[in-house]
Amino acid sequence: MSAPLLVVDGLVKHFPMDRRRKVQAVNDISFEIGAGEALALVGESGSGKTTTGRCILRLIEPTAGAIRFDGKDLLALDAKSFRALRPRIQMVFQEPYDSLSPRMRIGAIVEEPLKLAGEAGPAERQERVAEILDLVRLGSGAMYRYPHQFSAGQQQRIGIARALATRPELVVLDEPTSALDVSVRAEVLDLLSDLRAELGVSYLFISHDLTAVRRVCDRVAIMYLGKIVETGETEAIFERPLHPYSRALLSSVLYPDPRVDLPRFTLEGEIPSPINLPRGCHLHGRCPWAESRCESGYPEVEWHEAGRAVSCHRAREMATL
Amino acid sequence: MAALLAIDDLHVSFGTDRGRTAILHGVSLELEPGQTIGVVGESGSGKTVLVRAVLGLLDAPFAIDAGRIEYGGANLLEYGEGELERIRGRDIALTTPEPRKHLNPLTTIGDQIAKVIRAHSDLSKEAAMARAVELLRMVGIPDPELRLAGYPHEMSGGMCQRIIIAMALAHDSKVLLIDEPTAGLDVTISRQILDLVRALVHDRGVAALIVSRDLGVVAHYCRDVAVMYAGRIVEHAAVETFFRHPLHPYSARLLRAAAAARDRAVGRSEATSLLPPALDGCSYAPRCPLAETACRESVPEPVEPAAGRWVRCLRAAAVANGEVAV
Repeated sequence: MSAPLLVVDGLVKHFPMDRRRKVQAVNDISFEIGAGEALALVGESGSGKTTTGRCILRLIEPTAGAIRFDGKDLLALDAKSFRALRPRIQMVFQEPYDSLSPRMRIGAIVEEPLKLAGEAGPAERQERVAEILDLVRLGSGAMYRYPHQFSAGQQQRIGIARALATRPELVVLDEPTSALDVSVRAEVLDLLSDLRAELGVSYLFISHDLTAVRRVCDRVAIMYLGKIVETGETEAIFERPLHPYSRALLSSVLYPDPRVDLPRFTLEGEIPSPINLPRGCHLHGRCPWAESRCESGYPEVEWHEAGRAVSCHRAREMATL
Repeated sequence: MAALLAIDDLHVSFGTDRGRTAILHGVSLELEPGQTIGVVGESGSGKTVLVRAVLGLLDAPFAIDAGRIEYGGANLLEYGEGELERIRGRDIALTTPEPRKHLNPLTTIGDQIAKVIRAHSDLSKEAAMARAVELLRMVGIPDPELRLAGYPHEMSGGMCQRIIIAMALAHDSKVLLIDEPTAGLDVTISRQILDLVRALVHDRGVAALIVSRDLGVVAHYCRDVAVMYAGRIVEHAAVETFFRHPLHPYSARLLRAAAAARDRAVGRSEATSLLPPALDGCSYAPRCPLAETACRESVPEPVEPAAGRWVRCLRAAAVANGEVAV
């Protein structure tokens, strides 16, 4: 197998609050994304998934850990070398309208990353803008109009066009469909799948929308309080989640069919504060499987079947029940 | 059973400098005690306008042009502001999907909830605060006593959403109008809130209208469903039959889109959302695979092609008989 496109190794991000306290948003996570692969990072608010995405683009600086893109350590690069590499990693944001400048025409919005990348002359850039607007099925005529003249679904296509303009190898998608209606959402998810097949681009798909993830991604990493608790192939995880948190999360999904109601696996209480993380396994206070060892030590990552890693003292034992 | 709330032929329009645009074109909906109706449809279909109209919360340039809203033997559209204030939050409560916009940033959470409680009761401040703690606990907010002293900006969006829902539960209202209860909430919290509403409907005979874009919510928490498209209810049916066999082509498309989003084995979604609704004839005709010439000529009246199912579609009978597939 060739080397992965992105390797995140031991990433930590803490936000200091005052001299003593800090928000421990991301706590030593590691994962990889292969070329052309789509990995989902899922979890509830406060799980650290968005912070992880932002660290990869260095929109915020990680506290510790390494991020290697195509073999280069992103965190070791100076500003100039990082900027040279930036066209190869792009981002799509959650709020389509808020992430587009209302006073710029679509043509200028999509062209901007090409300019920043110092790519070609105005004529070639125009050609590329027209090509990419066709690719996201908006048509090149869109370039003369303004963001408010488009629906939310079309605005998200513009956001995707802007991200793809520089032919990136990796796109970080932060909740790309959560602001969209159900029918529009399905279209945008299909577009994302098509573009990946056509362009061979890799995705880090950050979402709390588990149904969207299931449609687009090859693999899933589930986060809870800044830790990845389980990773695996999408279908395998949806069919048989092994970590108790994964079970609870997936059994809460409401499928749009009254006949499909999953047996609920319920956790007690609330997600603890990332300022005062629980000792031991972060889930132990809410977990029906918890025993004394869960309160003392954070469980190591254990490999189960191929590609399936779980951090739970009791996952192997409970899987056989 | 007699309806608790009956919306009858409601027409609402919106004024612009180029004249008035109709937003709701004659919407009728009845809600019985112990019933939960899900109202689904895409943004701009008029769902939120509908629930806000019930409580007289539409400000200019919106205007109610015609119709009746019957509650407790009266037409709410004839009520003045003072009379409406007496029923808002007490008889009929509303939640909003934009919680931050409806919470005062300068007042503590406790004071805001206590104000809602005291608006319709003569509880002391202390008793209202105790009730506030109880309400926050009901919606699953941890350490409610500590939260009372907090301000909205100190809470997450999901927390604010739950505070709004807690306020709507303050007076054991007979009717709950719940606008997008799960927007911005994580799945596990959403389920907790929806379970709470279900318990109120079952145990206390509350009538609930749940506006949602999420068909999963409708499938599991509603008895009936009303599908809105461009300001009209185009299909109204029991949830059970609706999900098995939708009759309006738009309903069928919505269900396919929702199924597609969860399963890649389901075919691709049709890319037709870029077409705007028609202004003449059936508003769905431009996107409809079954549209005929007649569909473009007049707006279809509601028909009942199968018992208890109302559909605004000229082809509904053919779809119900299985002559054509949607």
